[in-house]
Amino acid sequence: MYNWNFGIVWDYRAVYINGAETALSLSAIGAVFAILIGLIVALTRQSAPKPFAILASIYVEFLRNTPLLVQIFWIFYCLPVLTGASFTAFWAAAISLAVHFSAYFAEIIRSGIASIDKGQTDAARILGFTYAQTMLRIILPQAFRRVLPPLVNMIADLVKLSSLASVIGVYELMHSVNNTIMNTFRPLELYTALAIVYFIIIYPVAFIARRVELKLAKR
Amino acid sequence: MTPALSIQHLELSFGDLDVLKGVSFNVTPGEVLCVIGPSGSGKSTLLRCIAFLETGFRGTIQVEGEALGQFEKNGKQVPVRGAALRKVQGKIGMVFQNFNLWPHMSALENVMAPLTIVKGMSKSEAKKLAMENLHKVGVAEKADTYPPRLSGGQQQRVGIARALAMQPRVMLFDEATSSLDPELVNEVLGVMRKLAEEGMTMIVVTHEMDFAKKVADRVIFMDGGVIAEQGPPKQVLETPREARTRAFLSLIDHEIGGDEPINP
Repeated sequence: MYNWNFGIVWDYRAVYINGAETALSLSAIGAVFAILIGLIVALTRQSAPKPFAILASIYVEFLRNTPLLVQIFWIFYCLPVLTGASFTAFWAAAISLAVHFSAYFAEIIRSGIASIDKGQTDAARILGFTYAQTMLRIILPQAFRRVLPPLVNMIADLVKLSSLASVIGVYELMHSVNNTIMNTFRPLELYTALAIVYFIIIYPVAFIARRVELKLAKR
Repeated sequence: MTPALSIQHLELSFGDLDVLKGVSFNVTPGEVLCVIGPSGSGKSTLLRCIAFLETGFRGTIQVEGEALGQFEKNGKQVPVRGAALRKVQGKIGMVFQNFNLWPHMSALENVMAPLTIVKGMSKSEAKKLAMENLHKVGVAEKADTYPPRLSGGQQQRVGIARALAMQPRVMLFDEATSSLDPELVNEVLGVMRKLAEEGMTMIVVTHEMDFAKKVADRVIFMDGGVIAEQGPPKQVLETPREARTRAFLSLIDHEIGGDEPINP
């Protein structure tokens, strides 16, 4: 019979707190830039001249069809060699998450924009809106509401996959807990606690999104 | 006198399909022009060209003497884009069959948005002007309601208010009552009639023959991408010269049961 000792989780609570902080800032930076890049890529695919639109499609397809793990290693080990720029493991992971998920966000945002009736743009144009004004004030606010559920799912995925940053030694949750297990030989308690901590971080994201969605639907 | 609108040799094709095959006409300031014709005759496309929502046309469209989107120089079409285009386009107001109100904004915000965003008005100035126009079309009490909660007739009147607030020189109505429930048609036609009486220059694509008869100064009958017949409403609608005009009018008449009682 295994002798459970969950007290050890409490003893190492600092590991979880620091790990969670790192995981969250990694995810937050990744998500913000992923959405920004995704928006630019979506608009490029939607309305830029053909060569740019094709480049944007290649960007999306390439990133969606290669593993995030490979992208993390490539950005950490190869990008510095190619560009001469050097960055920490944390920033390599943040860039990887931003770039990888930007491809998915681009697709989500593009489908949202495409779902808005063309009459919405017609009305804006005849009333004198520029392209940028039409997008920012008319199309994107509506598109954003429609894609909120898949957008939030994708953000939850991003937080989960931030655990892959452990492979290049970022002290986020996964890596920190792995290290602790090597010192304590208590994988059962520490991994169980790890799963629970991830749940505590990710569940509220989906919960708040559902509330916002309901509130918007009520209007 | 410069025409409010001048259209010369307007042609447009979608791929192999010629939708407009050389349409020319002028509209004098204050004139109410009704455009009728079977579906596919090019009448809605004509309006969309005048609004510059269709851009690939040949020929010229001038609004108060200024070229819209392009002008001809030495037989070549020179494009006009950006702010210069929006200046001319800004003289045109358009009302759509499907209203095209922005559902994420209240009725008031729908009317205010172009004023603040495009004209750069202050919020209070825009609100005052927007409320005046909502009042004019009789939906002021619905100012804070979102479009999905308005009836079709109310939505369309907000659409008219939104266009009017920008003080257009020419108003285009693209089958403005076609998607309305029958009992809501008159409240929109009433607003349009009031506008006409105030001297607004209007081009109205419609199936409402009664409206055309009573309000139009001139009726254009379009068929197959050309103007088949035009003239005063009485002449075109009651004593049409062209066989295809007669055929179209008899179909419409048949549709609504003509003068015969529906259950004899």
